[in-house]
Amino acid sequence: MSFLENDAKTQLRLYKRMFLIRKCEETIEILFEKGLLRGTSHGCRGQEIVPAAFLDHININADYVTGNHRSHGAYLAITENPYALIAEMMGLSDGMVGGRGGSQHIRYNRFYTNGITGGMVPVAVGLAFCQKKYSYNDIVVSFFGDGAMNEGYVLEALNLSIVFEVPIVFVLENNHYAMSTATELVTKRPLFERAKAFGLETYYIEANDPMELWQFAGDIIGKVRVDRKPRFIEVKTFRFSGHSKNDKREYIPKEEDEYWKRNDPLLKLARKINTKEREFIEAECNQMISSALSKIKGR
Amino acid sequence: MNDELYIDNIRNSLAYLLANDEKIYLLGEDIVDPYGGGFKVTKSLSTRFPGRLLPMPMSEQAYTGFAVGMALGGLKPIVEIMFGDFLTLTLDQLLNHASKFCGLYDAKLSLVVRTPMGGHRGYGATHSQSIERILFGIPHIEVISPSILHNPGELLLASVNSEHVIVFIENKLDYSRKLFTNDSSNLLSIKKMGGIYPIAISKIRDADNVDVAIITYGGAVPFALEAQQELFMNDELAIKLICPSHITSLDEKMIIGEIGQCNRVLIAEEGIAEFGWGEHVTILLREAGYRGTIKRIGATKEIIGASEAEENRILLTKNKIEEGIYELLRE
Repeated sequence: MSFLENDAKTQLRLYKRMFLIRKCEETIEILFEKGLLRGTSHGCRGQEIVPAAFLDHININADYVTGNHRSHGAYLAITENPYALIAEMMGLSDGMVGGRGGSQHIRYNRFYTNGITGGMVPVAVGLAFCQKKYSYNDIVVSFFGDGAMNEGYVLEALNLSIVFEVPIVFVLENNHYAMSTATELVTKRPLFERAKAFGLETYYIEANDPMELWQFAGDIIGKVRVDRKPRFIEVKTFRFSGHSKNDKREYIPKEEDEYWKRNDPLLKLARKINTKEREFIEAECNQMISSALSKIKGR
Repeated sequence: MNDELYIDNIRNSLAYLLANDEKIYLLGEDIVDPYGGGFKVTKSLSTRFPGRLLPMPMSEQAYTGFAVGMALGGLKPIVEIMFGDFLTLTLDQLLNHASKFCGLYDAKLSLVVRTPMGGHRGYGATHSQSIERILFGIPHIEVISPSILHNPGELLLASVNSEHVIVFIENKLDYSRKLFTNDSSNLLSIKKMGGIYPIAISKIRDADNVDVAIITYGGAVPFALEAQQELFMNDELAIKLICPSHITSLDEKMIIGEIGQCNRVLIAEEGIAEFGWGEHVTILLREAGYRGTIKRIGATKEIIGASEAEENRILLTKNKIEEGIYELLRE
């Protein structure tokens, strides 16, 4: 297979996962509006490319992945299974946590999330210690947000990753808002500088071009697999969803919203794919979601 | 074995674990040689087991989480928190992470957090407390507290291999004490009952009756033992000590069986008595049908002063146990 063919296949794979995540989050929002879901949900519309790009390089039977409250996207990127996610949110036993976890407490194989901001980051470093002891190749990827960067134990954990030199990729998904609090309101320097100060090899990238981010994620993950040393990546991204289900996003300036709508990674990738293939993928994803919903209705 | 110190007993158990199970790691501040730990519990171990003691920065929150991750990945970390007072910093990872992973994700975590509680060393308000109560009543977290009547090392061994999250409460004064066995006194007979976390019983060797039964644990036990011997010598009172070690899971039937016909119970704890362990024990006994008189004693609800006078005024002492016994006898 040529590089071009390979690239084309990757584009389709990424587009499928991103589109599935987008549609699934939209569906969840509609289910809430209809009063068919209890509890809460933290949507990731706009950020789909981050889990899609990174987790395409992960083997969930061998690598560990940790997420946070906003982890629908990572779950779907790993499993492509909207049924288990929606069933989980409905409290059904077919959910991946038997309906007890809900939206924020997801576990699938070696993928773990929790609802406490930043709390999974030290846990991820401990998991990476296990990878260092038992594997020459397997790693940990830990996702967290800009809010988590102000939790003390996240910074402590970054230090531990350097002290114990463990194979982990920290992925800071900076969507600019910790709930409603803009990053610059509560921090005065770029967030990645903190990671750098601990001695971590640190990167900053904007999640604009899906294929660029995919390539970049693959390169960094490849490095960590080989040299077993931690890396820190700040990914600038943006959420079109509110922080949680009832958030009207009044704190987001119109220009910022429009900038990201123009630069929506999902639409950018869509433009690179020929119409026939794109429509096929979209129909497939829509079908996955509608059959998930009818399966749930039948229960 | 008779003269073995509590601290050596724990250290020997740690050494045994390190020698026999490559999954064991010890994590904590200042635990490696030459310092060997704030209370020297891990002295010599980093030299004997290179790479197995992970010296930590002063980041209790993160390294507790690190240990949770290690346990989630199949290792068996034993965390040392230098002073029990600092358990506050571990709470988020224990309560909101470890406990949840067990309950939601069916994780079997072999995670032990060891820490010493207790006062009477003049360390003042933030280094003298007995705050294990903050971990009582949390799903999937068990609190184990050995005493000098137990074999602390055996309890530690059981804790490490229990596949549960265990907070293991040691005691600062106990470290330098000898374990108390049947050979330690002609007066007392010691027995242990129950499974891997036994209840230790100390009774007057030749007494058939029991004047007062004391239910107590951990670092309060030596005070109770002293009172027990003193009151027998001075007043021929027959006191029986009932000392659980699994303090968050009590076998009330076994305890009531040991109380027997005695109709006076004193519950003594080092921590603050108000809203304390003794209240839970009282309710358990009452609900199980015990009708005798019950009295609870412990620390008063005050900030622990550093002076000896303040410590003696606020904290549990042998004298307060004796006063409690006399009060019960007067009623």
